[in-house]
Formats: sequence, C-alpha cells, structure tokens
Amino acid sequence: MAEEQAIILPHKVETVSKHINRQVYIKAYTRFISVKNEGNMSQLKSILLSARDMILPEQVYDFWCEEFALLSRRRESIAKVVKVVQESSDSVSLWLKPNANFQGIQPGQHINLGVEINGRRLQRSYSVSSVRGAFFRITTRLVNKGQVSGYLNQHAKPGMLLYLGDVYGDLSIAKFDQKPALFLAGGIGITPIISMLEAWAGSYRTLPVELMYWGKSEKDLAFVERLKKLASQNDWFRLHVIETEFIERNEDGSPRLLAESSSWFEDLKNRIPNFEAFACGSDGFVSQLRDRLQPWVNHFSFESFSPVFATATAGMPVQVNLSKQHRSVTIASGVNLLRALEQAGVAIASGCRRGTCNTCTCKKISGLVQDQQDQRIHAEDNAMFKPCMHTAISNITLEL
Amino acid sequence: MNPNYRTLSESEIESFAEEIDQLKVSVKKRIGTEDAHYIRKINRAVRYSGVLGRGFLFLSFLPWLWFVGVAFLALSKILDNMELGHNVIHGQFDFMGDPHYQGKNYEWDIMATSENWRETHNFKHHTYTNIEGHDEDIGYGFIRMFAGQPWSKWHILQPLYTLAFALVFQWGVALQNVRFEKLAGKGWLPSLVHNNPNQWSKMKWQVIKDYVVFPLLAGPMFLYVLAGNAMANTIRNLWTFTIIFCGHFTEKAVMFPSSAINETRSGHWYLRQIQGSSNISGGKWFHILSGNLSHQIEHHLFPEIPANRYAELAPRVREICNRYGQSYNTGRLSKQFGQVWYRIFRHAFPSKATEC
Repeated sequence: MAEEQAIILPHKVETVSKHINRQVYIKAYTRFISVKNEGNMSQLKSILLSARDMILPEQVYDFWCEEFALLSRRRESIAKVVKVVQESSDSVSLWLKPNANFQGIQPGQHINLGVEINGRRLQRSYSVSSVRGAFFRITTRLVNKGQVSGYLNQHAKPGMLLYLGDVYGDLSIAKFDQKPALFLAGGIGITPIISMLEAWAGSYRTLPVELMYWGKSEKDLAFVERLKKLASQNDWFRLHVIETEFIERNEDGSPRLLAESSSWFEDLKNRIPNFEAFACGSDGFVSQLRDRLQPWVNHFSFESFSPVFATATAGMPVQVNLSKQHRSVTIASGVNLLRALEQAGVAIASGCRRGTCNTCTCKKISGLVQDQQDQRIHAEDNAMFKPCMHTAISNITLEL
Repeated sequence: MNPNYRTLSESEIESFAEEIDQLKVSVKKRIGTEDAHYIRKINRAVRYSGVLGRGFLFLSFLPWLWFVGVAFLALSKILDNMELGHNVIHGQFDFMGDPHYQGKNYEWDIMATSENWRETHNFKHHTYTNIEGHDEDIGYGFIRMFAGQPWSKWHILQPLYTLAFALVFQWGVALQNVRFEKLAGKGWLPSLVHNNPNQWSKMKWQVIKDYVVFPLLAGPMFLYVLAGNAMANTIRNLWTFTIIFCGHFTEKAVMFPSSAINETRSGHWYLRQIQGSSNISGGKWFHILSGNLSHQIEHHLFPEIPANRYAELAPRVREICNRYGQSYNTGRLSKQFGQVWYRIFRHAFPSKATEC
C-alpha cells in the first residue's frame, strides 16, 4: 500500500503543478455551472460537453441528423439498410451499415434489432450472417404470424433505418479457428454458421469443416447456392444438405434428423471424436441432435431459438427477476403487477395507480406482460411499461 | 345541489364509468402509425421554429427581424412545452418504444425539471384534480380561486400579483416542488441548493443558456439576443398561464373538499375530472398551440392517450356528459379567460362557499 503511494504520488504532484494555473481558472467556471465530476474526464472536457449539450442537446442533435439523412446520433446505435437480398422464397438478407456508436459484432454473435412497424418499435434477436469490415448482414426467415420477419421480408428496402441493441453470444469464430468443426444447421439456424464460413473463405484455413444442413426442401433453404460454391472452392469444406420432407419420422411426427443406418453418419463416427460440434436451430432440432451426437463428439455446443409462451391460465405462479437488486420474487400471473410486487415486498415508486402519472414506469428486460385494460400483450424486450396497468403472463425480468 | 351537475346514483356512476372506459379502450386499440407520425411532426415544428427564431435573433441588426425572431422562438418554446413536452412526459408516446419520446427520460426547455413535473403535475394534479389541499395547482397556494379557500387580507392584492405571476409563470411551476426550509448552520441559499440539487442546477442551466451562452454566440448582437430570449420566455409564460388557468378555474369549475381523495373508484374519479376541467373551443392550430389542453376535459379523462386523439374523442365525451346531466364546460378563449379573471377579482374579497 505504502509502496504504491510512493510511486504514484510524485507523478500526480507533477501533473498538478504543471496545470495548476489552468485548474484554478477552470475551477472558477465549474463552480459557476456546477458540472458534475465524472470519473477521469478532465474538467475542461466536461465543460465543453456541457456547453455542447446546452446548445445542441441530444434530442436536437439527433433530430437534425435524421432530418439531413445522416447516420450519426449522440448516443443511439443505429444502422442503415444498404442492400436487400432475397435468399430463398421465404428468407431475406439485409446488409447493414452501423453508425459510429456501434461497438461491432463478430461472426457467430447475435444482435437485438429494433424495427419500427405501425409506429411501434419492435425488437427481435438475429444472428449475424456475415461481417465485412464495419458492415454486417442479418438474415430473417418468414415465420408464421411473425410481425417483424413478415415486415422485413415484404418491406425492407435500402435506406431503411434499424435500431441496434445489445450484441451478445459467447460463441464466436475464435472457438473453431484451431479445430476441425462439425456444424449442424436447422433451417434459418444457418445464419451464425454462414457468417463463420464467409469469414474463413478468404483465409488460409486448412482444418476441415463439415456442415449438415437440414430443411424442408432445398429451394426453401437460404444460402444453398453460396454454400455449394464455397464447397467447390475450398478443399477444407464439405456440405451435406438433407431435405426433411421425405425422410423418416420420429414417433412424435418430427423428422428423424439422423437415420440409424446413415452411411454418412457411420463414416463420420470414425472422424468425429476430433471435431468440435455446433448445432443451431429450433429447440426440438437441437435436443434431438444433442441426444444423438453428444456421446460421439469432442465437444457439443448449441444455440436454439423458440418463441416465449404465455402461461396458460391466470393465477399460475410466475417469477419476476429484479435485475438491479439481484433477486427474484414469485407472484401470480393475471394479477395487477404493481400490487403484486408491493405485496411481495418490492420497493417500487408509484403514484396514481391508474396509468396516468408515469411514475411506476420501468424497463422490462424480457418476458410478456398484458395490458389489463385493452388486453394487448406487451412482448418487447428492453422496453418501458407501466406496472400499474399490466399483469405478468410469463416469467419476466425488470430493471428494478 | 349544484345546478350544473346532476347528482348521480351509485349505479349511474358505474355505468357512466363503463362508457368512458369503453371509449378509452376503443381509441387505445387504434393508436399506432398516425400518432407516431403526429408527434414527430410536432417535434419537427419545434426544431425548425427554434432554429429560425434563434437565427433571426442573431440577425436582428435589422430591427424587424428581432420581432420575427421572437415570434418564432416563442412559438418553438410554446410547442415544445405544451404539445411536445407535456404530452410526452405523460407517457402518451411511450408506445413507440423510441427513446426520444419516452416520458420517463424526457427533459424539456423550461425551468422545471421533468422529474419535478411528474410529481406535481402528473401525479398530484392529475390524480387529485381540484381537490383542496392535494392539488397544488389550485391557485398555486397563494391565489384564491374558490370561495372554499380561506381568505386573508393579502388576497385583496391578488389581481396584481397574479399578473406578476403570469409573467414569470415557468418560475412558479419550477419552484412549486422546491423545499424552502432553512437548514441549521447553513445560509438560506445554500439550504435551497442542498434541498433541491436537481431543480437548482436545471434553473441555472436554463438561465445560462438563454441569457449567457446564446447571447455570447451572437457576438455584437448580445443584448438583442438576450432581450429576445427574455421576450420569448415571457410570451410563453403568459400563454401557458392563460391556457392552464382556463383549464380548471372557469365559472362552472368545482373545487372538491379534501375528503374526496378517499373516493378512488373510476366513476367518481372521472366525474371529478369533468366537473373540475373546462375546454376552450377553437380551430386546429389553436388546439395544437394549447398543447391540446383546449381539450382539458378529454386530457383529464385520458391523460395517457396521445393528445392528437382528443379532438375525435370530444364529441363522444360531450354526448355521454349530456346524457348523465353533467355540464360540459367549453367556450371560446375570451369567454373562459374572462371567467378566470372574474374569479381572481371576486375571490380577492371575502366570499361564501354557496356563491361558488
């Protein structure tokens, strides 16, 4: 402790003495406009920032940028659609140019994207399907009743703005760089995989990569042509497309992804122990493959997606996670959320209790809540809502 | 009792509430593109008029440009305050999910912090509209608007000080929630700062912005810009004072005894909103400039519904009110404002509750 101080102190003294005059000068001003001291930011810088925010507050700056079709924003990360490619009859790819606030994304990672539809910003998670410099691509497949996928498939065009949320996903290309890889894709689960393949396409990769790609029929599969081309150009890459329309069924009617007698599988078994396996698809797809492959592979990792479902009946217990307090409480679904939280001993600011004063409004990080008045289901992640007007209908996470 | 408002039975109040609720749900289902488009249009008007206003003030070496500048800047501040800020802070546009229009995070170009405003306006005023001792907007604690308020000899001066108050209205609103107690061992000003750090810094920022930074940017036009900003703020003060006082203090407006806060059922609450509020009739532009507070009754019934919907709700609310024998207070600005000033003069002198 003492040693540390001895080293640091002279350095500090030096800087202080150097800038002593300026600091006195700055101090007079900061006293005047009471700038809050923000960590290491120099006082001069914070004064300049405050002056900037006075003349051009975020709201005004963002407005004029949008008005002049500039991508710049004070804080918000956004992206412009620069190219739209129809990948198959029901999937479309968007090439995005993010603004400078965006921290970047790696092949294999996912991003929460906000799209404004009918005046409401809806958020969905997409895996990036290719990264080229600052630009990246997402691919969306039309899902039945999917509001966002439906909108993007029909209306996406260059120039459209999307709002970029959090980037997440531990799985990244680095994991497979030094090992042979076995990729298993179910339908649109191809997206994180193609982004990695694209990244390797221009490199000196020698370690083998094998891709099994399942889909109803080949014409419905995104990127099939591109994958075939990659396979013919790169010795290290082998592609197997399996059309599930005509293959054997499991007892529950789902397609049997790997037949017992599959010669490909027999052949693969001999090579498999050395592979790093990764599966991406719906929950059912991943669990079927995991059961089958886990005993054989070196390491099996997976990502799956399935919509969140609401609890069937009111009164069922749901869990409310409170992200700031690092705890969770259990309440009944179907009852007023504000009252239920209070009864569970959660301190929450509130006022009118009738949806008018906007005091209890807080951020819902995930989960489903339902408006008790007009029954609208509020499914957006990371969006504000009023607990006094809603009831939780699934497990939810609140920023409290 | 009150000739303007028939006393309803409990079952009537219930069915009345049901009709108002249905109206609300029916309009809530239609909220979407149109409303998002509307508030963005208002934001655009605020920004363009703001730039024009400040720009013309910078060029005010031609005297007439000063007047044009003041007009645009006042317009921008009025729109920002009334139609954009007030409505956004109510959370009317939270449905958009656009962080620029989130009521909880919105900050506006006025003295009062939006946090402060949520407390005094969104919560106290809207929940306890015109309830004595709970709604601080009833004469802001020093103007006697109703016979039910106690009289003191100082109230004789109220026509004068109300006028002065109107000129600096935004300061009044900002100081409404400020705690004035003097702390032991501290001077009056330091205690004020200590009690209300956020409000204090916001007021400083606003003063520095309008009276130091923008005048400095104008260089030789320093004094013109300073005077122009002061003028624009004053115009906005007078306008907001006018609209807000017309909203709750016209002839037929009712003040409720403090016991009314115990009656929280929807029907009773809706009735109080109607009996305590009054509309101002006018054209489309008038409604926009008043922040749709010219539809004060609709705003008080549905503070969370986007303001651009009030005009279409108004005839239906009026029709329901007629059926239930509730007078629907509306009239042109001169009539309503005349009634407000009548109250200010009348209740400057002792008055009895029966004369309300």
